[in-house]
Amino acid sequence: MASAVKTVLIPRRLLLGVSLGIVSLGIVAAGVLLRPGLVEYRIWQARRALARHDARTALSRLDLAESLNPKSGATQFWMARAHRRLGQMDRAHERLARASRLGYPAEALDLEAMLALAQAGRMPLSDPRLLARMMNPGDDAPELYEAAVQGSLRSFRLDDARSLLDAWEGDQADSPQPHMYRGLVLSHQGAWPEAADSFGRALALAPWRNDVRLHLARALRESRDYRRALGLYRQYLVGEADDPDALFGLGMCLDSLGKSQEARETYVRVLTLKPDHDEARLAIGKLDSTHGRAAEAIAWLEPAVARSPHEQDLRLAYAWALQIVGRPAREHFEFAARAQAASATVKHLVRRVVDNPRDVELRYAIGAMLLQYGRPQEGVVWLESVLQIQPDHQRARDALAAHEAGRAVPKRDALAPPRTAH
Amino acid sequence: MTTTADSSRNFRRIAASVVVVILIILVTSAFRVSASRLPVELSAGSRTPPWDSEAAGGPKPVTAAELAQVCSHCHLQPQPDVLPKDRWSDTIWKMVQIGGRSWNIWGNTDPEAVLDWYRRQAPDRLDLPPIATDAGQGSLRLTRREIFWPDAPAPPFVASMLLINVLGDRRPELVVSDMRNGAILLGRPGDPESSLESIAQIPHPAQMRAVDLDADGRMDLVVANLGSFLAMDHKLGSVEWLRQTDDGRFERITLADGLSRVSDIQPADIDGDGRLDIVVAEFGYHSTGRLFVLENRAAPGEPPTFTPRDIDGHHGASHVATTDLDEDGLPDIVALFSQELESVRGYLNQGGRFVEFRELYRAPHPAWGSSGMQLVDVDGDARLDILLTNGDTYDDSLLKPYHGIRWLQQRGPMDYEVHDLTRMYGVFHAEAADIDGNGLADIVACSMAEEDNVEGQVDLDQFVSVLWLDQVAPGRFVPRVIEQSACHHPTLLLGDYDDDGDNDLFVGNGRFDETAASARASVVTVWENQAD
Repeated sequence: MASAVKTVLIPRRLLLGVSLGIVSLGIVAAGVLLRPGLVEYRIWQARRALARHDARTALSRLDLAESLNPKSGATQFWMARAHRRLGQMDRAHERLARASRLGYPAEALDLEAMLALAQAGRMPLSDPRLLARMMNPGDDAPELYEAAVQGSLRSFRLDDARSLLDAWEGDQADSPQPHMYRGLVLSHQGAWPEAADSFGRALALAPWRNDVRLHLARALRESRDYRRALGLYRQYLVGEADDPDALFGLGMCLDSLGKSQEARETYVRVLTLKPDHDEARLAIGKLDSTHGRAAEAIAWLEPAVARSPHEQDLRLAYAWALQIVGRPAREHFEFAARAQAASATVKHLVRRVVDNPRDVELRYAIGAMLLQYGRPQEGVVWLESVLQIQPDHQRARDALAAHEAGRAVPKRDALAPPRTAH
Repeated sequence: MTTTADSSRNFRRIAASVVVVILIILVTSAFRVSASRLPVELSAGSRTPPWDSEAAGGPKPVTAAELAQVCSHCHLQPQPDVLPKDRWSDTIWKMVQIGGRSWNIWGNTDPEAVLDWYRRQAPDRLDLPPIATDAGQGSLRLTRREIFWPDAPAPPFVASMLLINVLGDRRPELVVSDMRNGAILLGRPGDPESSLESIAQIPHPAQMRAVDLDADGRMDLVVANLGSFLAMDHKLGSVEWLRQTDDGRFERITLADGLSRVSDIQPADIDGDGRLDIVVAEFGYHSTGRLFVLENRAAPGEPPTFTPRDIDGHHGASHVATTDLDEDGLPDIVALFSQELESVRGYLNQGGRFVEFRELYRAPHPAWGSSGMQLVDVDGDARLDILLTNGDTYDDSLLKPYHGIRWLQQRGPMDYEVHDLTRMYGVFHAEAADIDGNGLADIVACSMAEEDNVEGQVDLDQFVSVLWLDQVAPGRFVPRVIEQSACHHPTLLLGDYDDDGDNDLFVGNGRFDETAASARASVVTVWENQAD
């Protein structure tokens, strides 16, 4: 049967070429039209991540947004916030400067710069700019509270931190953040069981928060509740299998619960991930010395002692390992004994700072002692806190300058703690 | 050649493959999501908090027999009421750390079960009733003054004192060991204007004894150097000899070093060879410490040289004295042990060897906090009794209702009757001597604790810091307060410094908290007896 319809024949090549052209034009058009939308989408993802207190994910989303449009002021602004949340202040300032050059609204940039100062502990709660914002925070309340509490903690203004936390809890009853920060304040004071209670409350409000879980695990470990801490570390490590600090915490719990072989294997794994994890070296050194392997202990401890000669526990463990193998150890024993006495004095001084938060001499004494006998980075924070209260405190300036230049810290008389007059 | 059926089959294969790939991706993603959110699911489905999964069901309960077995490896089993509920965790885990695990003491016993047992029965807090004292001062009249060390670099911590005529002049000097400043100080308390001056530097002088060690006619000092201000296992301790030279100076000679913390020494001719040996209480800490004798092996006329001979490998000997316990004419050794032993042991001298000891006293539990011992005749029967104090708060900063003063009255050779004389919180040292002139030995005691800790437990204003147990009739003591609210007296001394026939009181000062006092703070408080 013959066809009644006459077919118009179009060459296949022509058809294919036209189709490809249409698709290409479509893609280009979509690219041009959708790119701003995609950037917005990535920024939205980043903001959600920041709301979940996941600054790292936020940064990865913002990286994508930046690759789509390097000239987006909004991308730079949110990158600044993510860096600030991570405590990367230099990067935060760099991103703020770029956002400013790209015309991002000055008011938002000013707020972010102020938050950075507050978070670094360089803007006390009494600062009029911060006070003005705190009086009328609007949607920025969580950011303001968090930055101000972090700054108070960093400069050991615990009274400020506590009053901020009271207000924050009142304003946002269902937020885990004030509970988490209260836990951190209590940790600073060595009140570990109470800190664990606060972290527990935060985790109950936000069970997905692995960072809170890690804090809680540490607080329970310090409270000698090893079994519950162990469980938490294991939960945490499901999502963060290669976190050396969490692995170390797990090892400490195993060690305390008598599983020394398993603990040692865990410490070794920590060191494969982070060879300069000196606490893990100390833990292995102690285990090896205890189990008759002093020579091995020395090998583990030696790099740590070279790196952190101010650490009392390291020096003492090293001294014992040397003593066992018959090598000279006196210098290390003597340092450990001096550091132990200094550490006791620092504890007493810290207790006095709680009652006298603006006493720069107390703060200076703590900072100077920690530079010599504690963790130097903690000493620096204390000395910086002196300068926040009294910017012209010359001995604090000198001590910081000497530390930065790698010179010796102040002499014994300068280290003498301030005392009550009797 | 490809047929329509083949094409159809190929299409189905490709479609199936795509579906499989999509399924794999979906399943993998779902697994990743579930893995990363595992804690959420745990928390949602669990009755216990999300962090509590390990503790589900709790530890297997411990039996009384298991508990007794575990504890008795090292010490008497404490009852739950010796510590408040919140302190048991630190205590039990410290036991595990100190050595339980490595000694395989715990076996199958779960430390958490032990902890649970104690926590369930312990009180929330220790009840600290006020010390019952008599309001009157009896016949005693005391006037107070302070003795200073103007050159002190840091606040003093007086660990021991001697009132002795060390320089060979008319009146006795006061010799003080300052453990914080590493100094031996000398003063003339007979001169009211005089202050202390340093005569020697020794890092951490915990105890001193005056003795002419080289028999040259001049009084020397033998000093126990703790090696560190705070407790630590180390090898910095030593026994030092401060040899007095012709010009009245003191030359430091180290007799033994590389020791752990040396808390006390006692010179005595242990082996009967006519030369002075030295009994050494090497307290140590957790893994170090012992009791031993430095035997003097010098040839006649030669300077003393010493060789150590171990007596007891236990750590924790804080005080040591010599006396003839078994009345065989040889000096025996009496040592007070704290740490896990909390006991007084008598080591019997068998021709310079010590092969056995007798337990003269044992406190009921290891939280006792033994702090001082003096061998003294309290009841005037010409036999040396043992005066004990227990009030050490160093370990846990706690005042305890069982802190107090005990008199072990000697009834016969190595036969002691225990008298609980009084409760006294933080009591650190007691001495006995007649201070009110009634012919009966009184007891005076001082206490030490950190002010910040005291304030949280009792009223600091009511805290008894110097107490006089007035022996008003043989064996009957009336407690009277000499001083309260100053809890910083590590030691005291009774002696007649002004040769007026009555005993005066010297109270040493020292705070654990270096920041709580001035470097110019009083070193010694003198309570001068104004008895008629």
